[in-house]
Amino acid sequence: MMTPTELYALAPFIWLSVGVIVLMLQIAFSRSLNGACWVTNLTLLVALYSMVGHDPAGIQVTPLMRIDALGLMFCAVIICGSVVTSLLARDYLKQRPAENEEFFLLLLLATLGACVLVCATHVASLLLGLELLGVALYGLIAYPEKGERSLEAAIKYLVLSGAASATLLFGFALLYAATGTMDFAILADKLDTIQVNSNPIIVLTAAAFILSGLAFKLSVAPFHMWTPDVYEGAPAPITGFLATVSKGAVFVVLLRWFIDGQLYEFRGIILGLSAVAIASMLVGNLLALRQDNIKRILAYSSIAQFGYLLVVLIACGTLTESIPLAREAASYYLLAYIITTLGATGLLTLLSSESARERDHIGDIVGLFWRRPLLSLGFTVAMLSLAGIPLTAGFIGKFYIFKIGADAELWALMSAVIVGSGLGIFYYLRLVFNMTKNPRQVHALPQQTSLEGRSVLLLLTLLILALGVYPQPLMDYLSAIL
Amino acid sequence: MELANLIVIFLFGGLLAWLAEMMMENSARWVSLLTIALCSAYLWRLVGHIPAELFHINPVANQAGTWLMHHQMNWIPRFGVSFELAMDGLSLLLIVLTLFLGVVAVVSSWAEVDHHRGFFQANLLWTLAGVIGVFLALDLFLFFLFWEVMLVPMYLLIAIWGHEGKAHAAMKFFIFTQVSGLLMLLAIIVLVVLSAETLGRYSFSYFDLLQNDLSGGVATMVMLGFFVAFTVKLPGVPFHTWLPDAHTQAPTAGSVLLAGILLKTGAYGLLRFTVPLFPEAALQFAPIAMGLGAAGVVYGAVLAFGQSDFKRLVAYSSVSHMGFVLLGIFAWNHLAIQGAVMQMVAHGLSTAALFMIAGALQQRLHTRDLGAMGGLWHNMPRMGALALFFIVASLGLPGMGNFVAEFLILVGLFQSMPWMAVVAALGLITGAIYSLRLMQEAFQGKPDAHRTLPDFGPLEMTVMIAMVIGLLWLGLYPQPVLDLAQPVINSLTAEVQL
Amino acid sequence: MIPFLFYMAAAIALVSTVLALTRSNAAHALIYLIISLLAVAVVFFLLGAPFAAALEIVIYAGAIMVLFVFVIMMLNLGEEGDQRERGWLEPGVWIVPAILAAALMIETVAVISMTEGMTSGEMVSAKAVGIKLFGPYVLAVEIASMLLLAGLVGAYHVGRRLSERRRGGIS
Repeated sequence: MMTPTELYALAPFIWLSVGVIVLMLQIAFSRSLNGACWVTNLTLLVALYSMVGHDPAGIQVTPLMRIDALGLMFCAVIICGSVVTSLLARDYLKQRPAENEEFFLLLLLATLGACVLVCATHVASLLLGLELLGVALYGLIAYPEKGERSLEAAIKYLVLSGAASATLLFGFALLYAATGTMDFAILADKLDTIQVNSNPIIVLTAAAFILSGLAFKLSVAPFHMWTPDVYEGAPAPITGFLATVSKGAVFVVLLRWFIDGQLYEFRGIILGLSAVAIASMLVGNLLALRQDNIKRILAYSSIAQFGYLLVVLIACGTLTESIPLAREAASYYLLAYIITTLGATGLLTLLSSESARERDHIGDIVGLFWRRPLLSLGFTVAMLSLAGIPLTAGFIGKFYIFKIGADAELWALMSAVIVGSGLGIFYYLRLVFNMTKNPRQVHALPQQTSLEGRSVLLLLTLLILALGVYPQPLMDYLSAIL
Repeated sequence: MELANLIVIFLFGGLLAWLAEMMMENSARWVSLLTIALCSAYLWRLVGHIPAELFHINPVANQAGTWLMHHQMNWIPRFGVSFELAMDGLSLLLIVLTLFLGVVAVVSSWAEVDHHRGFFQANLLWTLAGVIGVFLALDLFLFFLFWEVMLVPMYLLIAIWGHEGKAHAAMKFFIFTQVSGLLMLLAIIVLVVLSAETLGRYSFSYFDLLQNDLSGGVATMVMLGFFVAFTVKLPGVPFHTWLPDAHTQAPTAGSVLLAGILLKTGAYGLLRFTVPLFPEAALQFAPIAMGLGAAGVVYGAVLAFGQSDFKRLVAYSSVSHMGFVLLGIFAWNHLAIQGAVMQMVAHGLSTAALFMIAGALQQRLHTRDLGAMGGLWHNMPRMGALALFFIVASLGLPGMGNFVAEFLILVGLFQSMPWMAVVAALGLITGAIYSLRLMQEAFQGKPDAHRTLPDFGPLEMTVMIAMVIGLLWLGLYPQPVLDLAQPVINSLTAEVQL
Repeated sequence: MIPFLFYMAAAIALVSTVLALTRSNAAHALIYLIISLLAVAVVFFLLGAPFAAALEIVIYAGAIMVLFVFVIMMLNLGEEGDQRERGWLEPGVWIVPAILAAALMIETVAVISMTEGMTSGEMVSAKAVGIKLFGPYVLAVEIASMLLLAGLVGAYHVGRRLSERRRGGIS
């Protein structure tokens, strides 16, 4: 039986589910794009508001979920990400008239899945959250009425994601066979005794399967193959959602499992993760160099970004004292990454909202700087943030990575980060360069996007700068709650 | 907060210039000039308030009162990062140089930049803001921030208003500096983490880090992180390859800023951070560094001789001249460091002037190829005379600043490593050869009768004359400049003996 | 006795799965798949999870597989299909599945008629499963309902789009 306190802790989830049902009924009675968008945003805001005043120490609600500060913070981030996505998607969908209301239904469901994921402390909730997010995303990726691309992308994601889920499930089954528990916190104790008593080969195999499954969702090398195609094929707002909310939520749950379960104590896991991290930094950055599609560039860039982020997990293995810093670093980096990537894909969504075609080719932004100075400046800031130039949030994130890498003395990884960042500069600046090129013919396009879309983008830009210029409040907050 | 205002003025000036151009055609460059004037006036007022005796006290690292100005404010206490700015004679000198060359850059862009003028001036002013920040920042985090941030407007200057190969050149410039910058960031963080063990807290402050003498292999690795970053910017062989491209492809104002000021940030970094923070490691490394410097002197001169592109030739001559700075800094005695500081100022002036002439020629002839020039003295006597002056200045003719600088460096160098001085002196000879070749091919020879070219106008002449006066002053009466830098050099050499 | 039965059922599951994978004829593969699922159900039963075993048979071997068989059967319409289906009744085709199925049946009868208890482990009754599901795992049930909804909405949207396109193609 659930106590009122537990129910209260679950309020955001309950509100999201209520929103799903209300929206479904609304669609059944009368279809309206604006109506669906407002119901979605209202739901998200109510869910966001319902998070205020929760105990930051956290409360365990059934063995499945722990509503603590880390979870709540990322729930808030995910919900804000969904608000941004839905606001931008409205203009985008207006340009593509069809039965578009289910888009918001799926978006709410995916948000719910991501929120469950960041609060998961149990294998069952992890898998269910992951599947809820994934299944809603298949629908969202395949959403556009026209265009074979998106269908192809959705099928690719469906098949590969299914395989990854199976791998994950098998890994958890093995881990359950070895330890007899599915709870992350109990896992740590069980693993301790196993490590003392016997050969941990079954644990290592299980961890390899689980990490492969999660690595697929995070799209780190060598599990990255799907990313560029799916990013390219998905409608622009969903590319942003996939890159930020979905990946961020998966990383948070990985962080929980990895640290709560104390898997960093296994040398083999740390070595494997290091190889994966270095491979991602190099593969992601190298393959991005020759792309001409902005979504593909962002896809490869995200592969590299998650390679950098893995350093945080690896550092836990070499230096146990750095675990609190690791949580803080991961949270800051993820926040910076999410805001930045939402800003970057937001521009693509805005551009694509002005035509029936996806405007994501590098040629589509030539000369943009002179036509839309403010928006282009926002995009430039986002690119600089991804490249890790100071005064942006991305730099503070990278600073954390360097700090934690220096603490744990991970020199090989640090060299890879430097080489990777150097390569990264090339394609980030290439986008900026193309925006500043003088276009052959200047065609002044009528402003078709709504005020909300543009102001959301501006807000994201300001956030990137604010987190880069004055990071102390967020740092204090993170180090206090984690 | 006064020191921060110097930077803030430029940031707002840039924004204002951009907006002004949207309102009114051609107003941005006036806004730029006004901004620089305002900043200079402000600096004048600040310096006026400093008690005169402070100019003669050797600034001691951990006594803020002995510096001309010092300001510290918490910024990111979580990691011991503070907003710490300080000024001593060296930074004051370089800031004055920056402001002066800022004016030169604005004037050289006067007629050349023909599109998006507002944004051009904004970037120009923002670059200046970054450079001043580099010269003032004494918190290593803050220093790194300015170091990187000044790249962005500079990149845009080259990428938007550059010449035919701008995309490639701008990219190369950015990647070289950024990658070496990241090495420096890692080195800074390692230094901070290591010194936190003795200090008991994280601190990025120069004053705190200076007290912690690192030694052994770690010190060498960390020192190399700094050294590479600064040597890339300087540029020293073998990290110089970005420079000829960037200088050649940049618009004139960009080349002026690059050669005049940005290169000096590298020298400043070596002098301020690399050697004082790691004296022991720097001592061991000094022969290699000086070897690189001497190699740069000779190699730059030889390559300069082989160029047929006016700007490329001047660019390679910069490699050669900045090699002297590297030599001077790592010889680490009074004379040599004085020479290095002198070289920073004198080279800034003479090269900026040469790039301005190159830019003026390109604007008139639409080529930088020396083969297409010749006999230009007849067409433009004023420009020819000025070119002759700056060319002989840069080859080190006595009476001009560059001679004083190179002479001091060679004398100082001879005291510590005589044979290195011999190699470096070779650079003087080759310098004379390529400089005179430049003069001959461009301005002498048979004039093209069909060419009528406008000579320098009054605005350009004013700036040029100012630079002529500056170089003559540095050459004939260098004492004030040396006096200004002397306390800093005293305290540097007193703290650190190589 | 119990371990022997367990390993036998597990072996049948393995063999029939391998055979299902290697068949080139979809109908044959399905038959092996059904046997594999039945064998897994027996394994569940022996492990003391009769409820899971029943679900395995009712949902997988029953509902899902029968749907599959129907779909495949409907794809083979016409004279040619009849011809081919006649071929399926050759003894070479059905004899192996029949033997495996018979073995499973014998096992089941043996288990049910055993006196010393059905399992070597702890019995988990349907009631225990229910209590778990609506006790500590109640959230999982709720999330699963949302998961089904997401699948439904997504499938509806994509499916409608495909059927509309087909209709558009005909007209």
